[in-house]
Parts: sequence; C-alpha cells; structure tokens
Amino acid sequence: MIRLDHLSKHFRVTQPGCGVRGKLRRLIAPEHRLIRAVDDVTFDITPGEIVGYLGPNGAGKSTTIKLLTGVLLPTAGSVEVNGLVPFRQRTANAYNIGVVYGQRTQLWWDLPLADSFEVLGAMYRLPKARYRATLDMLVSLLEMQDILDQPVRKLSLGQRMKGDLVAALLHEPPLLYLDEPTIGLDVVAKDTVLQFLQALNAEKGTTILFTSHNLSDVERLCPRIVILDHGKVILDATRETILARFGQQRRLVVEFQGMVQRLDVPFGDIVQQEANKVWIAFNRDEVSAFDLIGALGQGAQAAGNGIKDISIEEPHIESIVGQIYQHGVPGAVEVSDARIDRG
Amino acid sequence: MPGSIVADVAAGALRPRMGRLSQAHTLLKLGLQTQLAYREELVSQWVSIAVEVIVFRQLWRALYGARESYAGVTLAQALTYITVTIVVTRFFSTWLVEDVNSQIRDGDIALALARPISYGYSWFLCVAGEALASLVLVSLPVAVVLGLVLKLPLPSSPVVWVAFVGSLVLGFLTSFYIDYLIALSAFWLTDVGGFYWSKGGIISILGGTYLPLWVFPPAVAQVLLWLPFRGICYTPVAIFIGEIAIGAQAVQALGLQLAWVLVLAWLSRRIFRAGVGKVVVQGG
Repeated sequence: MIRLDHLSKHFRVTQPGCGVRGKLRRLIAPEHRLIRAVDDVTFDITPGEIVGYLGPNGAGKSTTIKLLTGVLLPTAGSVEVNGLVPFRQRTANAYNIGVVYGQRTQLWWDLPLADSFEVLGAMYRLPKARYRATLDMLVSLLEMQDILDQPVRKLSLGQRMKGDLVAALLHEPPLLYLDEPTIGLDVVAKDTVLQFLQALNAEKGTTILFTSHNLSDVERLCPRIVILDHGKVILDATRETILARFGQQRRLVVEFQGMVQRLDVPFGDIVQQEANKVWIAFNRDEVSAFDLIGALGQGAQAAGNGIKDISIEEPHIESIVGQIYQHGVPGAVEVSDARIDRG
Repeated sequence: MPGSIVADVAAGALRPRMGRLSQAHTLLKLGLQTQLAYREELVSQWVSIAVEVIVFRQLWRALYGARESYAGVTLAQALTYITVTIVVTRFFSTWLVEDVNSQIRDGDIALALARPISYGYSWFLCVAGEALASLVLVSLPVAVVLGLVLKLPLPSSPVVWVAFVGSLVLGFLTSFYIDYLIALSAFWLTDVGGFYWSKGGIISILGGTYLPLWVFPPAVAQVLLWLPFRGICYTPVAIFIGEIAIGAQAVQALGLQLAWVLVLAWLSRRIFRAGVGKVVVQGG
C-alpha cells in the first residue's frame, strides 16, 4: 500500500542572521543550513493497517505526509503509494488518499458545511448518487446531521474536526493520513473520532497513518507504531512488542503506616518518595512483585513500621515512548547528533 | 438565503452532465457565494462607484475645457470611456492575489495540491464566480442606472456589442493571468504585498485604464499598445466607444489580446511548475 525506500527530504534554509550587522552580512553572503527533515526512511504499510507515526516536534512526520501526498519532491530514495509515485502522479494519487491536518482546515470558512462538501465532491467529479450515499453514511456515523447548514466559522473545534474527516473521506479513499487529528479536542469529541476511525478501518479496510502527540490515543488506535526522530526511523514495532520489549519496568507504589526514614530496597530503584509513600521501579524479569512486597514487608516490620496499601502501575506506551524520545531506544546505537550540516 | 438563488440561476447555465458533480458548476457557485457573503456591502459599493464616476467625469470635463475633442476623441466619447471603465474595473477586481498568496505563505497549498484538480483552473473558476456575482449584483445594475441617468451614448451596431463582450472576456482572462502570476511569485518572495500594491498603479497607467492610451505621446502609446496591460480594460472599452473601429483595427486588437492570453497562460503554467518544484511548504 505504502512503500518508502531509503526516502530522504533535505531542505536548504537560509540563516536570517542576528541584529542589523548580521542581517546585512547575510544579505551579501547568505549562509545556508541543510536540514534533513526525512533521512533515509524505509518502511512498508500493508492494506488495512493502522500505523501510529510518532516523533517529537520537528522529527519529520509532516514532511513524510507531504511526500506521500506528492506535495514535496524527495531528495533521494523512492516513495510509492498504492502503486503510484505521488510526486509524479499527484492527481491520480489524490483519488487514493484522504488527508486531515488537525491544525488546518480544508473547509470554507464562510460556507455551510454541506456546501464545502459539495465543492470537494465536485473536485473529485463524484457521481451524484455515490456522493449522496457516502455523505449520508459519514454524517450519520459522526452524528452531525444538525450542523450541516452551519458555516464553518460557527462550529466548535470538535465539530470542525468531524467536518474535516468527512471532507477527507467523501471520495472513499483506501488510504487516510491523519496529522494530529485529535489536537485540542475534548474527551467526548476525541472518543467519537477514535471510535469512528476504528469502525472505518474495520468495515471499509481503510489503511490509516495516524500522527499524534497524544500517546494514549495512539496506544488505543494503532496496533503498529513507527517512531521517527531527527528524520530517522528509530523504532518500528507492534504495540505488543514495544510493551514486551521496553515495558518490563513496572512500578510498585507502597504506602507505609508511618513515616519512612530509611528504606532498603532489595530489588529495583526508588524513583519517588513522599512522606510515607514510595514508588519503586522494578524489572518484572528480574523480580516478581510478590517477592518484592515480601521483602518490603519484612523490612518494614523490622523497623517497627507496617504496610498500609499497595498498588502496581503497569507500563504504558506513553511512558515508554516518552523515555525513547528522551534517551533513545534502549540498546540501540545512539542516533547521531550531527543532523545539521553547514552547507 | 436569497443570495444562493441568484447563485443557482447564474450558474444554471452550466448544468452538470451525466449525474456527476461538475467542477465548473460547483466552483463557479463557490465563487458566487464567497462574493455574496459580503452582500451587506452592496449599497456602499453602488455609492462608491457612483461617486467615482461623478468625480472622474468632472475631471475630464475640466481637462477638455472648451475643447471639442482631444487627439481625435470627443468629450462625449471620453466621458463614456471613463464611465464604462470604472464599471468594468470594479467587477474585474477579485481577491485572487491575496488568497493564493496566503495559501502559499501559510502552507495551505499542501492541501490544495492534494486535490485532483489543476490548481490554476480551480482558482480561475472561483474567481470567475466572484466576478460573475459582482457583475450581476454591482456592475450591471449600476451600468443600467448610469446609462439612463447620464444618457450614455451606446453603440448601435450589434457587431460592436459582440466585439465588446468578446474583448471583455479576453480582458478578464488577461487580468486573471496577471494577478495569478503576481500571486505565484509568492513561491520565491513569500510575501507579495508590495508587489501587489504597485500592480494596481502600474496597470492603470501602462494599461491606459484611467489615462486612456490616446492621451500619451505617440511614441509611448506605440509601446504601450503592444503590452498585455492594455488588453485588460482599454481594448474592450475603446471598442465600446468606437475609438477602435470595427474592422481590421478591432481584429488586430482582439488578436493581440488573445495572443497575450495564450502567452500568459503558458507562462503561468511554467512558473507554477517551477514554483511547485522548489516548494518548501513552511512548517514541515
């Protein structure tokens, strides 16, 4: 469905220079900088997959989407979407893809939603009957019958996002790119959007590439996760693999009856301590929670203290990915920092 | 909404074929609706045209003074020229440059390019819809009232009317392509505001809009006659008042308009390709 093969996109940007002197100097001798927004990226997506595409700000996620829509020309490598080369066959490719940018809208500000949809339907020259059927289906799934005659400027963010989803799906594309579609949405609206995407994938087999900073959304929606950093793929694995491989760290939260002065923890590390509450991170491959609790109980008894309450925190993609952003993939070769070259 | 009825009637001439949604029909309607969103301003538009017409007619009367004619053009012709020019200029002016410029600058062009419709064509349809709305709602009613009140001398020959309308269409295309080219320079300049502001002045002088070409020294006029700018407004209105006579003169003028439209269309296609080729959509 999607095939990226050693795909790179480098931008040459001009440094503006600081202060009047710097600016004048740059005017005569401009200084360029090479930014490797997407750097030697290779992965495949098969039909019907939902892939979470993650990475910190500026990692190259949006650039990848632009390469997939054919708006950007690759610097090197190749990209193929549903058998087409997007930048060469942009128009043909357009029929295969739907795109939603959470921070932009493709709807017309002053027009009622229904009219925006009609304009988009016309751009794809949809047969009227099919257009009506698809529209009715999407509108009822997203429960937006009541807002169709509202101009976009009067819609709430959640309603607008639903509108943008419909706009992206009117031509029934087999592929959907979502660039932060849940940004700024409240819990209810977010829930509707995620449920809708799951239904779309299950019923129509739509392949989805989902970009978000909200990792709990990704965890809920995406069985496969690709993490990008500094333009390079640093991790490409299923949700389960990530949990199994990097999620050995659990946390035991122990509340003692009295204040804890000094605590000897036989296994794991104390990551946080507050009055009579202690958070202990431990590796479930090295020690079972049962043994750890037993050892803590004995220690507490010896010190004349007792355990009041215990709970275990399971690992989440959220915390794992957060750690990967900060420290890289454990056990992997450090990603080179030399991504910015003087050019 | 009464506006959408006007839009439907006006766009009704282009009925979609074969049960598919038609690009032309729907986008023209979009342009009409965009313009109609500002229909509260109609009255102020009418008033401002009327004021402009009165001011310019007084100015021309003063310039002619006691003279019957200047450079072979009578006062009556000159007054008709300026009146028709003001009416025509009004519906030719659209938001194209601002819209395309901001789309390129803000990176929204990424969305527009992911559509199965030519970028230039889709904007042309929108702008044509806008112009159509402004023609129907502003220029035509004002033209009728002015024609009656000022007793404008109208061409009697239907051939002149046909040539005028044909030339007007070519003039609109010329205006569209020049605006589009200016807008496309945003690929390199990021902001074309200054460029755009100077465009109005340049075209009204080089194009002989407010200063008709016959008032220029013959040597200068000769040069300006071959530039594309005169094709926007001067050529159609000059045909209207008979300054360009039906016959070889009109054929040559229309031919030149058509030639420039083709050149500008070709040029804008090339420049668009080059711009998209180097496009750096901001915020990547």
